[in-house]
Amino acid sequence: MNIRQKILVSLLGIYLVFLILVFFTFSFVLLKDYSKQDQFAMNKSINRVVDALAFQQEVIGNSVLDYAVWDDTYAFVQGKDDTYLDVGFTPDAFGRLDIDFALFTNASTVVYARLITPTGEIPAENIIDDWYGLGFSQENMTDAGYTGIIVVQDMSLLVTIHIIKTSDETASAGLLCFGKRIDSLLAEQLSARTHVPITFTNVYAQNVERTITTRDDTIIGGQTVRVVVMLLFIICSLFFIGGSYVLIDKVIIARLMNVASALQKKRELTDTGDDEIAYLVRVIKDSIVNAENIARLQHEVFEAIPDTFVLVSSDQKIVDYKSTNSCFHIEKGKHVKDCFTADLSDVLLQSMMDAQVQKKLVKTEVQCSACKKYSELCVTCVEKDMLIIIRDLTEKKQSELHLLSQTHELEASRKAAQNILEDIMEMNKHLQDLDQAKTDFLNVASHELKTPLTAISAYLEILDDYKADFSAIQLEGLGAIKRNISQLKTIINNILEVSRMESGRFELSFKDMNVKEKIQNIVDNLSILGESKGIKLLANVEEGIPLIKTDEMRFEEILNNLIGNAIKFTKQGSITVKAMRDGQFLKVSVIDTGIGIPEDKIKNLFQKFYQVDASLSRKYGGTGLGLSITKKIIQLQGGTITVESIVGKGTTFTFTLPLEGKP
Amino acid sequence: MKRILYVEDNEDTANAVRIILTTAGFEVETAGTGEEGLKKAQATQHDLILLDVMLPDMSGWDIFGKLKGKLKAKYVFLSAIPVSQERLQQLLQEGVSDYITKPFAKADLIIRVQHILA
Repeated sequence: MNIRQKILVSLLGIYLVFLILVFFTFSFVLLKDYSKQDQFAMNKSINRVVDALAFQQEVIGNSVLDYAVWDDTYAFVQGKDDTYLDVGFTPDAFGRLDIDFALFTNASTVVYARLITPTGEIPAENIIDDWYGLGFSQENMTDAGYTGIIVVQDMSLLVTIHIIKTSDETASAGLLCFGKRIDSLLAEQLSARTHVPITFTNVYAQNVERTITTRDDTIIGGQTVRVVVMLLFIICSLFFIGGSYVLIDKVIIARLMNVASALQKKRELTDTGDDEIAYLVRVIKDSIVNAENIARLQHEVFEAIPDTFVLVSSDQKIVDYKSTNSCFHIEKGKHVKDCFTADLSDVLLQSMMDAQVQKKLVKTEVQCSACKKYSELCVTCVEKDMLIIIRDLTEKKQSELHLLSQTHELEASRKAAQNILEDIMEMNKHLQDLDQAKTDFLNVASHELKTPLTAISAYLEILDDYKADFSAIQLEGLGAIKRNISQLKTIINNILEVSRMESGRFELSFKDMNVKEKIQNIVDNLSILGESKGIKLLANVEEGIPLIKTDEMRFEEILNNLIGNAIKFTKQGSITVKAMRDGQFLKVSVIDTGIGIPEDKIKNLFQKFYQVDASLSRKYGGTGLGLSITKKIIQLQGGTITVESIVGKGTTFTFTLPLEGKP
Repeated sequence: MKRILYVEDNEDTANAVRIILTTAGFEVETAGTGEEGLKKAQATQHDLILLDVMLPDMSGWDIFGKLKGKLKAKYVFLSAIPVSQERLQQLLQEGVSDYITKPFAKADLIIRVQHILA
């Protein structure tokens, strides 16, 4: 059921319910009221009629009373008045009194009786017969009289009967009865008076309808109103339904249908405005634009990817495609196997079947027998169609082969490297063993060499105490031994030290040292040596040099070595030790006035075992190790050593050490 | 008078030290092997035991290990092999009083011994 039908049915339903409600309200609430009103009116009518009748009776009663208590009447019925009927009670009295019936009786007989009907008068004999039948008599008549209805000659009469008695007399003379016909005339009269439709019916007569029907005008009126209201309501409902329907249709449904049909026919959506449907249309438009963008993007992606795409329908015909291979002859509508070479299409069809069965992506590699190219076929189901992607693998294959050969090469290199590494490790082990052997040797050599040296040194010192008792030759001998032992000690120490330095077992201990004090100390110690040759030893230390963090012993060694050399190679003059601060460094120079060093020998000066002049060493002693050790010590601390020399004039050795001591 | 025991396998060195220290006013006893040294150390009470590190039957360390804490004496090592500052600190903490390298100066030896026995 569509919306229109739904709305219609709903509205009809609603109004139907309303209708029923109204109807029942009317019926059960309003009509009751009406019925009550009707009853009320009816009661009023009845009362009016009753009152009218009572009034009528009263009129008659009054008339009767009037005549009943009249002396003349008294006299008449007793036969004592002959003029009564001409004077007292003339025939026009009927008209005057508005009666139709009059009857006078005395104690024994009816004196007068007259009944007027529309058709004439009734003979008196008949009346009197009927009267006697009624059974009224003086004896059983009360003073109040009788008011009621009698039937005479088949006519109902409204009568009042009274005894005829005057105030003077004690006994009643007879009865007097006046009456009026209860017939349609009376009914008419009463009706006119009461505005109530009246009919008189003798309940004792035959063929009388015993049922009483009431006419309810108000109810009928109400029912009419009800009908009118219902009709009105129905008409209004129809208007409302119609109006609502049209409104909804126009504002909502028609527009929606327009939008739907525009979308379906791919026309432009033109709904504008500010309401909810316009909003919906805007949203739809945006979605469409998005979808178009996505579709475009998809298309561009397809075009960008350098693979062949084919969309195949369930009957294996090409629906859409993009081909990047001239080997393929793909066209829309062609059967798949007609687009490719036989071997390719066989594999393709097989893959397509597999993909359908397995319900997932199926990949295979195949080589085209025609162009020898390798391709990868990817086949998958998309809804009821199949998507085939054919990727060219030639490049991939080539790089695979290339990679394989590279891997082999790499493996070979790796194996070679492995062998080399093993050789190196073996060599390293060998070196470590050598190193260990060297250390062991050093320790042993240390001990072995120094043991006899210890004894010799000790005894030399002991002998020193006995110098006084020595002869000249003995003194000379002692001196020579001492000097040479000292040399030996130095040589041994140097050799051992060099060895230690070479193997890295060289330790420096850094402590704060006062430069001025130290240098002065060393100069003082060595000045004796210099004096013996007539050379002056001087110290020239700048003021304010801060404490230097350095290995004191090594500093001594350096200076001892340099000053020792200077002394060795200076015949006369002076040796000055100059020290100053140079930024973060201490700069010390040993300046001599010696024989100097030729320029070509300077560059080799610090090499191990280098002697400027071998003959000089023989003369002056020295292994040539001193300078190399000195240089090493300085460099290890982060300092430098340089030399300047002029042959014949002198040599200056300059070294620097960091003030903060590099550990 | 302070008594010193010197365990040294080189006879000449041992004699020289004995002469030097005796002249300096100490009583000196010598032992040529580790065994002899142990025996003599335990037989008589000494104030200072000088130990050569390399002995024919055992090392000076062993002797030190065996005697440490049992005798009232102080211990000094003598060795041709120099020792690092750290090792020296270690030794001092272990209860060694000094470590003298060979060859030593006569005066140096005397001053050090006097200092230890002061």
